[in-house]
Amino acid sequence: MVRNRGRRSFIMLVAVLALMAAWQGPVFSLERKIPASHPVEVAGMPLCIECHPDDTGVALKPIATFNHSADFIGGHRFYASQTYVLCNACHKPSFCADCHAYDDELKPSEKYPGSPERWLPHRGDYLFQHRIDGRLDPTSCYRCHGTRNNKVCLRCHR
Amino acid sequence: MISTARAAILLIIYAQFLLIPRISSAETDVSSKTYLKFYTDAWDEKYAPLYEYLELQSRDRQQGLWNFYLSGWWGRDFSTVQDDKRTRDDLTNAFVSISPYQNRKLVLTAGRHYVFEGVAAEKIDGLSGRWEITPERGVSLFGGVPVETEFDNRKGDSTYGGRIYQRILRKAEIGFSFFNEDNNRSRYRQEAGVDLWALPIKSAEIKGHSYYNTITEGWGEHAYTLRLFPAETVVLSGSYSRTNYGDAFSAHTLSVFSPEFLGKDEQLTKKGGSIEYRFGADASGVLDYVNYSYNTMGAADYFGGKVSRSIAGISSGISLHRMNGAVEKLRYTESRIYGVKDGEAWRFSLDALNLHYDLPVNGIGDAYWLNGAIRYAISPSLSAACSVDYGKTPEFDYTTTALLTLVYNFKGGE
Repeated sequence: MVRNRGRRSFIMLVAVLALMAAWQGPVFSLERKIPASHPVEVAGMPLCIECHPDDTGVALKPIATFNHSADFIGGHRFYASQTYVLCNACHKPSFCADCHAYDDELKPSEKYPGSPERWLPHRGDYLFQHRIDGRLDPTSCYRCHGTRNNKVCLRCHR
Repeated sequence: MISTARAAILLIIYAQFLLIPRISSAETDVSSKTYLKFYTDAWDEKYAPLYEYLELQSRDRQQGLWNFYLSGWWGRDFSTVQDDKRTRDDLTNAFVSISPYQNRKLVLTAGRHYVFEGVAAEKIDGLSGRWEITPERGVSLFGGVPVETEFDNRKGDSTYGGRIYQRILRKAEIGFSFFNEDNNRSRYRQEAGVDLWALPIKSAEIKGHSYYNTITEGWGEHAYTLRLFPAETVVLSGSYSRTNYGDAFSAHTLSVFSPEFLGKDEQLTKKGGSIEYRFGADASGVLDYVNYSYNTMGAADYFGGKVSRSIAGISSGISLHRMNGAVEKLRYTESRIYGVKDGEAWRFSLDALNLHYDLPVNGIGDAYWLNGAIRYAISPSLSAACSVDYGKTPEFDYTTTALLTLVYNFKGGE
């Protein structure tokens, strides 16, 4: 009985959301949209304001805050969690998976030989250094290896 | 053995790719990366694994209303067998994403995909939706089975969560999120969080988040950053974060992350800052500093800088950092230098990294690693590369790795 009521409530909620979505479509289609893909291929670490000096507000945040500075790249997870639709305009999921893999055997730097300018993590023989880094700041290891992508870790850490 | 779920996902995606060529606005990308790696381990075992990474994407180029994406890898050992399996694979992503309206305010995704929603940065086999109800507020929901590796089987596993947010346009955004993961029908991870972004004045940005573990009933992490933009080419940043090990690492699949091992009452506090200056299109310099302090362990300071610049047509970079810690292991100097020369079809690169330990480890005071790579573009869509590593570390006296790579990219449709 309780289960049926829960199911009914869920179906009602989905129906209401669907109706609201159908209604809001034409209203907001007048607004500027974040494009599905960036119209021009961008390489390196772009300064968005170089090509977008007249910030049109498409990102709903000032475009200068998305300039790919070293600090932006270090804290990119925050921008991804709030504005991933904008990230998707330039980056395919494989761009994220190159480093944030769930099950992978090649290090990010090995996937891009000849691109040292990308400063990809775990360069060189990281086996010894990871003990020091892991004790110093386990949070940085945990994000990728704490609950997944740990096949290689399990060879030593049981 | 391919699982039923994986077979179903592949079947759906395959069906979509059969239909897509009939859609006039479809644009299809195919990317194949093949790697053959040769190396020897500390026990003189020789390895020669081959990896094939495949990526397929088809999307609506004109309207951006739909997107099909599939990626995965397959590997085979041609010499010593790793992990008791000669052949291994992983389906990395396989999803269909639909935006019913041109403004892309509503995005629905089904299949294996990432969700980035506040506390959740997870990969699921399931459904997710993000709906920007108005430019000021929106909601996202997701649910399915968590993708996990090397833990246990997925029977009885489930995950769900979501995020709601409120914006003051171009000035601030605050989000509240929730994430739950059940393992074998019992509660495994449950977190709630708040994320904040604000631009109180044009040249100052505040961003950060706090995560609360509702199982251990404690704050796992607070992390906040202040960024200042005094000029278009200058970024100053200051950051502060605090992690409580007992709450942050309560769910773990490796014993090394166990709070019992790391210290249940241990807290890590990181304070730091950086200054970045861009001097030209391909030149920048960064100075950075981080202080690590703990409840029980001794503190450490990490500081240094790096410069990237193009000199005489060679893109180059140099970095120097010093770690000064309370224990001997945390007293070392890290340096790196690289150079890249691009020709019409060729690319040559050299990269060198050195770690100088104040107290030699296993008799090694300087661990180093050298890499040289050559890449040749056979055609606009096909390139080949050869990369060789040579290094000396405190554990393996000398190690050599060779990597052959073949990359093929194809773009079809409009």
